[in-house]
Amino acid sequence: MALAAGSAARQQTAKPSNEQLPPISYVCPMVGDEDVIEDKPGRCRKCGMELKPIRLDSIWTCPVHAAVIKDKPGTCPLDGRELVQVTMAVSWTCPNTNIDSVSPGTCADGSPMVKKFTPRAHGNHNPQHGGLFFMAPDNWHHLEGTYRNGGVFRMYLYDDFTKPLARDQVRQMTGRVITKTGASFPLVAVQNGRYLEAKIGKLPFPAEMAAKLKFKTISPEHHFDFTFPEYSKAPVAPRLTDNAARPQRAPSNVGSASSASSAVASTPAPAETTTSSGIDPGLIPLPIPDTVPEMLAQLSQRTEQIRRFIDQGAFANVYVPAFQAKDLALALDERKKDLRPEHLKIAEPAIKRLVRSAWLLDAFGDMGNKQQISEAYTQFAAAVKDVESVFPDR
Amino acid sequence: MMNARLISLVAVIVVAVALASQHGEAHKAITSKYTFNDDVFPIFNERCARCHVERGVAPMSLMTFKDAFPWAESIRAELIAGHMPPWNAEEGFGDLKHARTLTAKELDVVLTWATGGNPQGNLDQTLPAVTLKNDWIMGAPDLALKLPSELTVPADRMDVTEEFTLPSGTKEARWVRAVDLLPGTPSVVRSAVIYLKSPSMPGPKGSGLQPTADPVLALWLPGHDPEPLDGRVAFKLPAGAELGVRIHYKKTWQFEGQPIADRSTIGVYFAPDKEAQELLAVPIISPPPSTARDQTLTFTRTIDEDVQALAMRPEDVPPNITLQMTAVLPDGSHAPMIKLNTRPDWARRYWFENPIALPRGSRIEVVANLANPDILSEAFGAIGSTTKPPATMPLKLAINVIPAKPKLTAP
Repeated sequence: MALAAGSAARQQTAKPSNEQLPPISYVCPMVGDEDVIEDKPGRCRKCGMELKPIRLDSIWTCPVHAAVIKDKPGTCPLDGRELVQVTMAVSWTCPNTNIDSVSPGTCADGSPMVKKFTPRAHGNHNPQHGGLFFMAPDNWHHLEGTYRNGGVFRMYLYDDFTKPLARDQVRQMTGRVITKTGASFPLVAVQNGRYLEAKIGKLPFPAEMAAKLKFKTISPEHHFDFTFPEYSKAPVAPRLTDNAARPQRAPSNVGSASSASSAVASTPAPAETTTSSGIDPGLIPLPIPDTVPEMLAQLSQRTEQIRRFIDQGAFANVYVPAFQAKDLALALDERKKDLRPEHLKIAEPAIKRLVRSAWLLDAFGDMGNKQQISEAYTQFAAAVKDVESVFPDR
Repeated sequence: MMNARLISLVAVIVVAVALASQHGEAHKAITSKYTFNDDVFPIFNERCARCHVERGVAPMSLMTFKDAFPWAESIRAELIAGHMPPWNAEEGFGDLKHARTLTAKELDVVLTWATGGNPQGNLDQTLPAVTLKNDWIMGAPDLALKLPSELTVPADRMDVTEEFTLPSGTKEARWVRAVDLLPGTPSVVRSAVIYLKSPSMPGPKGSGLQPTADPVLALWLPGHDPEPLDGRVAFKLPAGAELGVRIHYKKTWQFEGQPIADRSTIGVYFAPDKEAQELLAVPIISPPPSTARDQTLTFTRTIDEDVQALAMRPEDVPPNITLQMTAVLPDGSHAPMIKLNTRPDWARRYWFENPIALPRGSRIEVVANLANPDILSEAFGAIGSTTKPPATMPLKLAINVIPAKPKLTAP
């Protein structure tokens, strides 16, 4: 079951009243305008409707058992897979009522209100079928590619709630998969439109391929690059035996957030790509150091992390080290007054190019187009090189 | 608006996501720490108000929250593409005067706001009203020449290019330090070329090796200040000269289907001294490009006398290409001059921060990347992006020079 399938809210018994609540945001209640989020009450800038107060919270859930909701990372109690983080609206209700409160309280019968989680648009960018997950440039379509044993590429299509598209919508789509050798394979709707499929055969790993997809006949063709370190593994079915209580070893974190479930467990990750917690260091935010040499060292690490994510096809991860690098560059910008004039002339434009290309990496990261993100990285790396050339590294 | 859906990217992608990132994290809806009122408006007011104001030439005002927020996604796209502010020279290659760009911090503030939910800030806060300023930047000109007639862009046209001839009426030759244009209707005057029509001025179009007088007095763009020459160097305005004015009129979407009229005025600023060195031009012309795609074209021009380069301007180059100009000096050393990403309707003259000494025998080397993929426009279909036909005509540039040892003379 997909996390966002349907709009049904999940309920939990409320935590004690001293729980720290997420801040209240104000969102547009109009379907399709959920992206309007304000920090003040008022009217929707798109449709004029009165904004609705909600609390947005990051919670952890099982990739395929959305009923499980946790407030911290861990493993799924049902199948042992690593929990994934999603954003949901949190509210409180009473059984058999329409009450939907942004604050906890007591029901008419004296029982504590029940906490309820409701999915939000773009609240879940996690793969549902063990593949790689991207957002299309229209920011509404989302898709997931898998490469299965036997050489079959499948593409699953979702809306902005990561809800599978209706099958007649999938059947309208046309596309093809192109392998590294240039061979092209048509993507055809199968299972009556549950997904698109191309039989591309067995490729050496890491298997690289590009999908070109038109959502409608008259739509532009979008390009998505996929790099699979091994065959995608379908999510494990829930275990109803005693084994369910004994979590399996979670997959390694090497690869993209999207590829969390594509599982590279059979290939141990290089030591420098994981921490003892199993989280890729590229995904861990760090405070800005106090000294310029430390900033430069961290900037160098971030640059390398970006390159590695791109090489792995983990485009969705790139924004994390890119934004960290951008913040380092802005911190260096505040130290530029100590530079000699000839160095200042190099530093100022280089920092600007670094900041701009970091944003470019962020913009392209979700879209899965390797050429675009690689070109953005070329700009980024050149800017980093210039920054490194003028700031003292000791 | 370019892609309203992308605004939702805003609410979900951004900064806080990075800061709290963990493996497998979905995008979070967290608003920007920067607000329009406190952080973004001061930047827009300082950097963008000349055009992005009510009745300005830009397609939208950015001077109020209500005006700006619907354009947040377009703002993001234009900023990360480097299209706005419109300064098409790449910073860090060569040293140019008065670069019109945002600082790194300003860039980050606006992008964070544009992608982070576009918060307004304190709703009770009243921002100063910003109105269109349409005055002579350098003060009243010495000679104001109103266009001979009003031009109306008809209701069924979005843009028109019109050529005007203006008699200067001068009885004697004068040195000119700057020429400017004051739009009659700022919202429709998109760009202008002001040049000398006098047949006695041969101009830089010939292929001779000697620098000649530059007939192009100004490449006018909205929001760009004129760059006055000092009294020592000037344009020569012969007695009775005629000025040619070629204006590109372009309506914004608000005026679609409406006729709109303009009668602009050309302002001439005379140099204070009676003697000056005339600003000269050296044309640099490429061979015709082949029709092959993804090509790089390299061409050079050897300088035949000792000169100092003060400026460069594109004369006839296609949009959306990259031009890199370097001086290769006789001793083999290289002096970067400018790297330009050409864009339609944004041609201007770029002045070097300091004169570049070019001894006789120096070569000006130009490398043109005719492919220059605009990756952002390609990805998002950003404003102004169009499919570019392959360049087939020779590229024409000019550098403005003066002799290494200027001779001050009467005009």
